[in-house]
Amino acid sequence: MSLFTIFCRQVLGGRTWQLLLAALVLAVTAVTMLQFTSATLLTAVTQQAGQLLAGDVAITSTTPIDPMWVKRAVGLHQTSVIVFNSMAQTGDQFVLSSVKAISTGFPLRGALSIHYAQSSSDHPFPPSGVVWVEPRILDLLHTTVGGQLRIGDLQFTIGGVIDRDSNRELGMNGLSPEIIMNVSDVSQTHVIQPGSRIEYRLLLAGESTRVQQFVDMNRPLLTSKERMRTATQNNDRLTRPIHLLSQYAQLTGILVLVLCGMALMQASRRFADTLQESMALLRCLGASSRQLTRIYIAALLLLLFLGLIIGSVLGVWGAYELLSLLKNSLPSLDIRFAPSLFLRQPLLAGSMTAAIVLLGFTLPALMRLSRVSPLRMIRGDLPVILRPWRTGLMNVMYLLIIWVGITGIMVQQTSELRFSIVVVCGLTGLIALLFAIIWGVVGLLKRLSHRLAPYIRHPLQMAIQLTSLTLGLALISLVVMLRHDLIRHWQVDLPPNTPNQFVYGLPADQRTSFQEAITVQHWSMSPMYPIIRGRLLKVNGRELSTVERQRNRLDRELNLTMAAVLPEGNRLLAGQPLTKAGQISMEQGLAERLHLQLGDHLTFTLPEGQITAVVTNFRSVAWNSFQPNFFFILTPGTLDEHAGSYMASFYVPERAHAALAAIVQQFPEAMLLDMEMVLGEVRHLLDLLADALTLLVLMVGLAGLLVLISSLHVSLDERSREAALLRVLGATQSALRQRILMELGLQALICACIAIIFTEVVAAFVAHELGLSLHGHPLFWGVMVLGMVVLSILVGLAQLSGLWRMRPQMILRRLQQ
Amino acid sequence: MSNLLSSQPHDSLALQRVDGVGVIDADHVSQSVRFGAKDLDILRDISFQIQAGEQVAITGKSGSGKSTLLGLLAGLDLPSSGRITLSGQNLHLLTEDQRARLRLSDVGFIFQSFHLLSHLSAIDNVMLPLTLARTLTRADAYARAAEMLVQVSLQDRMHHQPSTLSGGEQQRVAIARALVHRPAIVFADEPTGNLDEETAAQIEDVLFRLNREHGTTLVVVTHHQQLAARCGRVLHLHAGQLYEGQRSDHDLEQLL
Repeated sequence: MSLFTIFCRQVLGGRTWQLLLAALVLAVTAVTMLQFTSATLLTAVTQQAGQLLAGDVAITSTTPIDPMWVKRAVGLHQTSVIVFNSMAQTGDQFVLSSVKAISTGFPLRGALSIHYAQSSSDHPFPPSGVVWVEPRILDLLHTTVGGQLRIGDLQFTIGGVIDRDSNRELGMNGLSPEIIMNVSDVSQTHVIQPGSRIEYRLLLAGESTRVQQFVDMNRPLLTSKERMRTATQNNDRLTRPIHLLSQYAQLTGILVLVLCGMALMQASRRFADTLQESMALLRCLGASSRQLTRIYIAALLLLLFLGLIIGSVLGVWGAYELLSLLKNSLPSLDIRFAPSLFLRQPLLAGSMTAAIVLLGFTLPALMRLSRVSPLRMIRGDLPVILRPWRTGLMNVMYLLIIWVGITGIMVQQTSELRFSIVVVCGLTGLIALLFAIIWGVVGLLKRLSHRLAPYIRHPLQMAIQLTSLTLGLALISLVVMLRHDLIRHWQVDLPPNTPNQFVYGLPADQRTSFQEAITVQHWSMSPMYPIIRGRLLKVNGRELSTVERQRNRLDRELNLTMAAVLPEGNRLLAGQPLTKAGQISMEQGLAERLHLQLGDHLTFTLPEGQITAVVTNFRSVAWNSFQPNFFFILTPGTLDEHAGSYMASFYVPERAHAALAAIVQQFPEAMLLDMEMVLGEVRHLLDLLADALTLLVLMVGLAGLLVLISSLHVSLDERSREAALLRVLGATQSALRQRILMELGLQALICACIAIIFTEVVAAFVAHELGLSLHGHPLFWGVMVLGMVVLSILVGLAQLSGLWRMRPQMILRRLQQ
Repeated sequence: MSNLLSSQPHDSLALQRVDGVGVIDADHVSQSVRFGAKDLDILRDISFQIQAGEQVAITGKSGSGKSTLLGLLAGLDLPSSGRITLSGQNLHLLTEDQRARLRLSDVGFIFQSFHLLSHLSAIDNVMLPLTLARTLTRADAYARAAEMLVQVSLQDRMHHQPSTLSGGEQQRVAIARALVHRPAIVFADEPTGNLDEETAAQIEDVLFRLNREHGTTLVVVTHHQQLAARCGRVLHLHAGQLYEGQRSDHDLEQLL
């Protein structure tokens, strides 16, 4: 039998190696899972670059594309598309849909796959009078393939179901189910009216050099109404949320890493303590330091290998689950699970993580072990650390290695050095702050409270353990709290009689009859507001910069309206009411972001030209009121109301669905937005994201649990000796149990209280940044305190129950071995 | 003749050193430890020799420095001053690893708390020195270890783990381990300290029988007068100094 085998037998005889392996496996799992997920998503986006746009370049406009563009793009493949929203209706069922009218050649890039009706044959695009629909349309309209569907004034046959459209709309448009029709049928529907929200697209594709030449040569020729989007720019709309998700995931991964590291550190300390005597014996019997160093390295490598294999397998499985969840929330992306992708970056990241985490967090303990003196066999009271100052210096060095290692892992994952350094520095500062607070609290309790002092063994050691636990608990709570707040933000139940329908795109000449149709039903309705689409060009004669536009989402057309009276829920904050034409009222938040003052001049570009208005007042807006709300309101008479359409909100009782369907049929150009449906869709998306976040929270939770178990493990021997002594002196089992549970309970209480304060502070900050409402979470406090106490006690019972059940003789005997 | 191990007025108690003969040779050895701001003298200017094949007991009350002296003689530690030679090797001139090698080849240990590896069987524990030395094949090492266990009458408990052995049985395994690699010297630190009287007597019998059969030099640290009396020579530690012969501290205080 080799020395390594002897060492392994000693190790396997205890339970600490399980803790070491679990912590390492979890760390590798987290990193590989998140890396694999990010890599798969980004690969999908990169590979499908052009597919998302259905071409290499798209010229878009709110008016029909200038024929000059067709001439300019000679030599490139071309196809035209019109995209707009419209009501689709069957009988008394209707739904707001995203309609895409296509022509020959669509898509130039990507895929459009249709499951055709049995009676129809394959077509490259829907014939006139035929539409292709998403499966959701069939559900919402209670119809089937082959059935009839009405858009505007035209009746269509449903010729097929959309299997996959790589050019699926994103954002709010993406919430509405998709219908694809022939571009030649659009005019006959009569849904396109002045003021309709419609986008005309000319899609172009070709060899990359030619495409680039076209872009470079023709971008300066774009008018104010036209936009040019390349595949890369289009991808940004998708990669931005994916990038954010990826950053969040990486951050979670680092948190898991740090917690696992803390668990490893504590477990390795116990590991070293339990092996001290064995190693001292081997030194005494004549083993050289080189022999022992070799077996430590071999043991580390074995642990590393096992951790990497198991962690990688679990990481791949976890990634599969996470991708499956995300796939449903990103329908336009063809996410393919490719295990071979794992062999590149994720495996490297996992290996690097395993090595850094294992070495960094366990090396100090193993170094202690290697310096065990053989004299301990005779002088059991001999301290292991014979030169404290040197050990202190080495510990600082190890901490630096860990810090650099974790920063390196993060840089490798995010490719952002600054972000990584900020995060790691933040974490370090946070840990230091938590430790300082906890140490102070623990020290104070020991000094001031005679009743609690016996439960505080070693204040410094306890503070280190509690810091790990508190950090874990705080991070888990933060993630859960934010998830809850985000979902709650969107799970608003509409109060009774709150408007649940929005009508927009109503032609001006149908305003009165629509109002009458609603009044006849005795449904309450907001005032009807004219909507004229315009784009903010200048402030006080100065053109807005690209940054200002992007930051305030002013790079698109806005809904301008006119009103003599402020809408319900709007409150005048500064300035005077609008009295004469040429005056404008602004929403306060946007005004502040643009640094506007009363009296400033704003210039807008409109379908009929430009207008300039004076900022006359600032107001607050209740955006959640489900009433029409506007950033800009002009005085009546400033704009031509016939140049646009009308918008209002109204309440429809549940039983009145048939009556509403009849109204929809009466006014085919109007678009009706069902708020319940919208909220439902958003909640559904958030549920999917929440499930994904839950998976991440679970990992952080597991890491926190490992920290708790390892912190109990560290003090196992000391507790065992104490328990044996107390039992010998006459303490009953229940007294011993009570003592241990009191100690665990006190620790849990300290952790929970500090974690609550930390979590609320951070949650408030994040809520402020995300625009969520600021509020405490009293229910969370109770749950956290109770949960932590119960969990600590349960884990403590599982780990320590032997102490009061075993006979004292047995404990002492076991300790002597 | 009685000997004193440091240059003291009472020359009749001094030990005589004969250069270059002993298997263990201590020459003006002192040991101090730092205790707070002061140095605490544990051993003061001790000089003596132990010849090959001798059975020597080192006695003294608790805290007299017996274990400290044992550690120095076995090369587990180095003295603050003086020189110790073990099997002709000056320990001061050896590195820690070289001292370990010396222990592996020439020294066997028996401890008060047995110190068997808990997850190895009895025979694996006995094989430990041979495993470290790697001079025999596994089969040969196993055979030798088995033979040692027969010599300590534990042939039926070869594959038992320490947790299933009594204290006496564990100490017998430890004795087998100490002798399996045929060392020149065996150091025993309170070998019967954790045992009852009857078991202690049995262990003493085994220890001395095997020691005679193997011809090893035996150095026993003990405060048991009976065990010390079985050794051919007794050295008594008192106030940091070593005295020849079995004595009580009271007698020494009277004498000094």
